[in-house]
Amino acid sequence: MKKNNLVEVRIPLHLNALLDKSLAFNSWHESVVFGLASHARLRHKTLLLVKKIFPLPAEAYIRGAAHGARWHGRAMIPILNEAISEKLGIIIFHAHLHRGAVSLSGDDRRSAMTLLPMFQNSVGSRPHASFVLGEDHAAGMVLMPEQSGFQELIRVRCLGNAIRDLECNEQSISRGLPDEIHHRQALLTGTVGEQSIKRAKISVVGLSGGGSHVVQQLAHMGVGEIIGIDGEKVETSNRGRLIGMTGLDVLLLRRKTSVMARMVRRINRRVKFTGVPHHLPRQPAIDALKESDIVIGCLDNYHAKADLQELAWRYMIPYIDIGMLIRPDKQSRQITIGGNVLTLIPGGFCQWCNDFLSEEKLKEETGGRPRSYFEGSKKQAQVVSFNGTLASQAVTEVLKLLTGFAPPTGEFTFKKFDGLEGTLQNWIVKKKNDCSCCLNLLGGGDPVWEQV
Amino acid sequence: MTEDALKTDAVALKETYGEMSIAKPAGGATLIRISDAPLPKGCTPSSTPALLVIPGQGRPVLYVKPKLKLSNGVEPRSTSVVTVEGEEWMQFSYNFPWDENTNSLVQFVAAGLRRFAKLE
Repeated sequence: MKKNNLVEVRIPLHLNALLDKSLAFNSWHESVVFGLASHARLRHKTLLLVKKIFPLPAEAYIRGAAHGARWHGRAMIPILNEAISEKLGIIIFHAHLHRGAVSLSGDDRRSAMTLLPMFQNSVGSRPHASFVLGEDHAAGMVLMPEQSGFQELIRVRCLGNAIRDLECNEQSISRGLPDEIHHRQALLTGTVGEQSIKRAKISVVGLSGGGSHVVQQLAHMGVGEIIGIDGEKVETSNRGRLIGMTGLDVLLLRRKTSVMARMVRRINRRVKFTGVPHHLPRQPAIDALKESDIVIGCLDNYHAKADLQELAWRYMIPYIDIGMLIRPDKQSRQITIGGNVLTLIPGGFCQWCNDFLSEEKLKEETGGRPRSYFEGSKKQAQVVSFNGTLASQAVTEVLKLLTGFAPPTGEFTFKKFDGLEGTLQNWIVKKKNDCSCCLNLLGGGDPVWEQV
Repeated sequence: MTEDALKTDAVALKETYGEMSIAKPAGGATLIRISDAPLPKGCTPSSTPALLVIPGQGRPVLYVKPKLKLSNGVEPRSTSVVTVEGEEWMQFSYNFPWDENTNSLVQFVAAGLRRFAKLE
């Protein structure tokens, strides 16, 4: 099967626990959960973005001799109605909870071959699917819009404190030994963790003070691909903080993406670096971002952070944001050096939930006028060492997401940096229930356009 | 804008501008994408895809694709690139009266695009 036939299902953090609980084996039947999902087409794969899940109620199941599950068709009517009204695809989940490969049974396949075309007749613009989830594998059949054949090369990605991928049986999951460069890193991350790192595609948006540190560390860590997004060329003033830059780069008017490409090449030629010399939200930058497993925002203005937040939530991409503010006050001789590292997992809190982003902050950047008047952020104090602290923590957050080496804290937190004290502390945050970004944008995927 | 008024205006837009499509993402807004809206004489390119975002309440917003130049070869001022539903569009400033009870979306799009006839 071709690589670009992969269908990746993304389940956001807030639905993971409910899905796991609802799929647990009942005393006399397998449990079935329905999901409603949007989708997005990328260059090499299609994303199914699960927005809602509906466990079948106990009374919907029909008692029978078979080991699997049978249910009354009428139980699907409300789900079908919601799918039609919201123009979303329908996914049927059930579980074979054991380790190792899983597959759809003959009954599962016959059921999918009957139900998925029926769903397609109701909502023709979205894919519909049936999946069986195991403890570390998954299998499934997906019916894409305007197609009659089923795609079976799938991956189920559960977004939590760590990214958990359930691969289908056809994909080879390499269990090779870590290379010599990362032998000691593997003592923490393990062999499987190292494979996750080597497969990961990480976007870094903004390649100056923070971003260049991040790129350098990702290259040392040995990630599969770094996508560097920045439309600027280097300037003399960047030399104080842009890692890997030389004076000659200024003379030769080199782009920041070129400087990063050279640095990555010198550190580890096995790490692919893709430079995207455009600012967000230009289309090449958006297209590159959509392909990422994790995105790291190293931006100095709220408008760009808002764009990144929207894209990360729309395509359910874990987003790590770093930001720093040094406020020297010459009159009072008091200085504050503050910063944040936010790990934003789709389904968890977003920057709008806790006023890291607000309309007031956006208005402040444009002087209260529309965005078309935005002329870039004010020149603020920047110091290489403080950038380095935040960037290091951001890369550690990547490592946590890819390998799950750190136990979950059980609460939503972010890291608050105090440059004077030299500390990074966990601060508890809440997810806002009426956050419009979380309600409307999460898993939005590509819009469904209908010809008039 | 009422559903009926929107349907009537969508038909009129299609008759005026040809190929177009509609999307209704979560959040309540309606999006109308015109495949090829003609720009004032001398602009490059001579036509552009245009996006009309009609919120549940309030004035619509019109976007065009970036990299547009006026007839004097200058890029229009007070513009910015934004993302709408995961796609890049150019937001631009315009100033004309519009009343949803008396004006149509065809008039809105025409008035919005006329902004690019003014040299800067």
